[in-house]
Amino acid sequence: MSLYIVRRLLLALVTLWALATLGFLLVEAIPGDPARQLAGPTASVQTVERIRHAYGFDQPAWDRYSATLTRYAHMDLGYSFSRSEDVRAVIARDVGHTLALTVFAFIGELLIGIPLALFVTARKGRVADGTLMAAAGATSAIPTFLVGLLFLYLFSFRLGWFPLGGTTAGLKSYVLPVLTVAIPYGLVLARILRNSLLEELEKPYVEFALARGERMRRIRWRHILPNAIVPLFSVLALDFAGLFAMVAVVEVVFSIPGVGSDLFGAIRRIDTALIIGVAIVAGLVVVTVNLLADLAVIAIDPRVRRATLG
Amino acid sequence: MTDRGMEAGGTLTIPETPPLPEGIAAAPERGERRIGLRVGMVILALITLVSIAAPLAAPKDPNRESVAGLGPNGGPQGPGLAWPLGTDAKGRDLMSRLIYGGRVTFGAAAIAIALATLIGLTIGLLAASSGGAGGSVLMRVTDIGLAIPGLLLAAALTSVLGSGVTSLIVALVAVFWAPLARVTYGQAVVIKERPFVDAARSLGAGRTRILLEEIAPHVLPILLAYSALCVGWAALFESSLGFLGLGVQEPTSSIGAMLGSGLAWYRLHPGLIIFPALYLGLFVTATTLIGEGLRKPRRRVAAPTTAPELELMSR
Amino acid sequence: MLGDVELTREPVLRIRDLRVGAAGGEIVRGADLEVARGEIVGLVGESGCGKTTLGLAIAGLLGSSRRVVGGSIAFEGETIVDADTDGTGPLRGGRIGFVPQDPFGALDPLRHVGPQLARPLRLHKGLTEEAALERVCGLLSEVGMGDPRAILRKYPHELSGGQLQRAVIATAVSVEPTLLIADEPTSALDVIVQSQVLDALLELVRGVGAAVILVTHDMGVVAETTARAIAMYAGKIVEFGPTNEMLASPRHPYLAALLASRPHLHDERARLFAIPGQPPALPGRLWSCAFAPRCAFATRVCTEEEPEVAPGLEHGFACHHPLHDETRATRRA
Repeated sequence: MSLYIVRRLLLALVTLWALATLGFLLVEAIPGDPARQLAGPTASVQTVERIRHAYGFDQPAWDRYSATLTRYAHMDLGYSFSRSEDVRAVIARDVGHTLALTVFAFIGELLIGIPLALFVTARKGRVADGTLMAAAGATSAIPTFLVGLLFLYLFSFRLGWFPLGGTTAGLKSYVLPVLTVAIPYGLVLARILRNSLLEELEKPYVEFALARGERMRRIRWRHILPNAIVPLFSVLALDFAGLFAMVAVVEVVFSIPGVGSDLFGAIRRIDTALIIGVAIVAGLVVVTVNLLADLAVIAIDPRVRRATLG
Repeated sequence: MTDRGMEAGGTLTIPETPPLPEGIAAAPERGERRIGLRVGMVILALITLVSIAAPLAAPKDPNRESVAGLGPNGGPQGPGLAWPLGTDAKGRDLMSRLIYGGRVTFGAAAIAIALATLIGLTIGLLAASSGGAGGSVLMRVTDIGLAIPGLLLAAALTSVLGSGVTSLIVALVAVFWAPLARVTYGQAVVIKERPFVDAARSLGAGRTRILLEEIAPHVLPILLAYSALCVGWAALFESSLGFLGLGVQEPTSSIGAMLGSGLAWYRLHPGLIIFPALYLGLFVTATTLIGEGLRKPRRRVAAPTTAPELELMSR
Repeated sequence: MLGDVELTREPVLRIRDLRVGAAGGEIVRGADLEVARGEIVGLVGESGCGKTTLGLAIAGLLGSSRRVVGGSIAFEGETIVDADTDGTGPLRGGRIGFVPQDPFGALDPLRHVGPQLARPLRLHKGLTEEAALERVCGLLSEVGMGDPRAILRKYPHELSGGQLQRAVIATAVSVEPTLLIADEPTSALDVIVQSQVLDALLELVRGVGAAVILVTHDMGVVAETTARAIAMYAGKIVEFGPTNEMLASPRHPYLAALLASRPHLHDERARLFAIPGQPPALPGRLWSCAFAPRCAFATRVCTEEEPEVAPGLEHGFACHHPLHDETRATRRA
């Protein structure tokens, strides 16, 4: 393993540490008696005391901090009073839906964004280009969950093509939530990729490939697209993070029992432990995806590989 | 050339300077951008005016619940003479709530982005100028800030800090400082390599002076363009938070709170969702037009950074 | 080459009044040019004079921002380009080869060198990947590159500029084109490797008997390698003729000035001559000699009438006041 990968892993660890610290600071920021709030309004005095001790509220701040890090290291995210079980158990049960939706939405985003960007840059007609820009602009001017609401109203309520919510209809119940997120994300990806493609199009290797007698279609797919997309990998990783959060919100619209719905319920009940738990898990997903994206760039780009692996 | 000809034909004036070749001037596109900028400014000015003069502009007290405002089934009323946009589930005048709600949402977004811009500018410039370990630590912190899903961070913050406009602003600042720091850094690093900065250095200008007098002036225009875009996205963020039941709480109105509470009735009274969404969309469109217009400066010192990271904040 | 008289007489390339337009004007304003089989022609001029554009037009690589708006290009007797059609497609990379200016960017940085170099043979000769790689290997060692197999397995960024450009030339020549356009093939390289690359080009070209249009601003390169030269200024061919004659007694003041602005090796104290001013940007139709504003010999007639090349000369020029003008009387006659 090279020095670069070691350093990259260290960075991921540092990010995890920052995430845990963030969790600590969030708990510290709770006004009043944090143990009382974490335990919930109906908790007995014993429960409150137990939580006070578990979080270390009866100890100096430094011990409390190390107690927090230890808890996180053991994947202990606290106890959710509103669900009457460990936060870890709640999230472990529900995160699958959210992750599945996120992965589908990510694939959908790529399936929409990449062909659209290629299409728009392939024809110089300003109409297609302008339409993409306008559509991307329009979808970014309305909140995504409203798009979901619109879909739900049209395709489920009015037309009855899809279920009104839940996951009972199998894959069919995933279609609308995935489209809700994938369409606006795909449009914005298309816009970003378009700029990148137009930049690549001017590169001399395109001219020389044409001079060799290659067809433009092949050059587009084999040379321009990979070169345009590799620099966007870190962006796509961030995108995945954004998708995860957006899926969480859209879950609420479509009543899908993922961590987003957990979050929604927790907010209603002021179940702080569950709220922070969801945020921490989301951060975990993001750290992992960022790491994978960086490793993927090393695998694909020989220049980066040489610079990093020596 | 045809665009130019049509322009000239319309006004029947002879241009004083000979027209530049189209490829160099790219005149039509720039003209469009200027028009977009102007339209955005006008919309924003109108919204600002309505928000500031809310007590005058709103037909009723936004927080007064009334039985007269309720429909026959005890629910909201549709638009009518007495209630221009209808009422909400508590019989409150929707238009008044929209005007006051816009004031809260857009105001909070503007204040939060102003603060986030200050923080981002400071961190980005410091990181770019100090280089070395200090700079890289600052940017690593920024990267971490960039990596945490903003919506969930904001959700955790607002739920911990409690409801209210202040905690909303804190949450928005926490989300938006990092991308703005990144843009500042990216732009400053490019400017730093420009010959005129070397020239200033060779003339004996100190690091602080170079930072403030040579680099900052060239970073600011681009940063402000992105700040303008961010104001709109921050307003969108508020709507998501409000939808989740976070941020501003009853009886105070905000766009997000209106969307969240309108959810229960939207099939019978789509206006409860449509009107706030339209008002929000108008605001976001205005900030986008302004931001995009500012992004193409008239004098190009550095090529404007395309910041895909930031572009992603638009959702 | 083939000994066929008819074929040898037919020029490989015949360009008539070629005009290339871009936004805001014409970059090539009526070029006439013939290239014989196996001939090496130098195309010289300052940057921005249209020589690269002319080369790209012949290679069919004008792209979207420029296009042929008038005149025609005939290749081996067949009109391939005029204002309405661009028929270079099937010829590109096959019978017409192209060597770009910047070898560093010429290959896709994400892919190995070998398969990219093998493409022309696969596309135009129908060879398999292995056979094509084998053939390219042979060409690489022919131009003095050690261990060509290892080079084919490398990525572009792992090769030096000289290696890359020789590889690029080898791949362009691999399909035995009839015509090769070399667009400043050495100007992006270190001076030391320039002659090495140029030798490689000449050797490979000689091997397949291709005609070459060598686009360059380096008069030294022209002197060394070409039998005939063409000078362009502001989108127009201002002088053409046998290289030695053009260098020894240039007729157009522009060419004379271009030659004078070369550094002199033997006279260290001599000041470097510079042509005052710059070539006009994107000229449209002109009613004066484009060079008149910078010309020491310009008179009134130069600002009122654009000079044309007198037809039928082996050494032609477009100037009202040509230098070394012992032939003035014969021209008038």
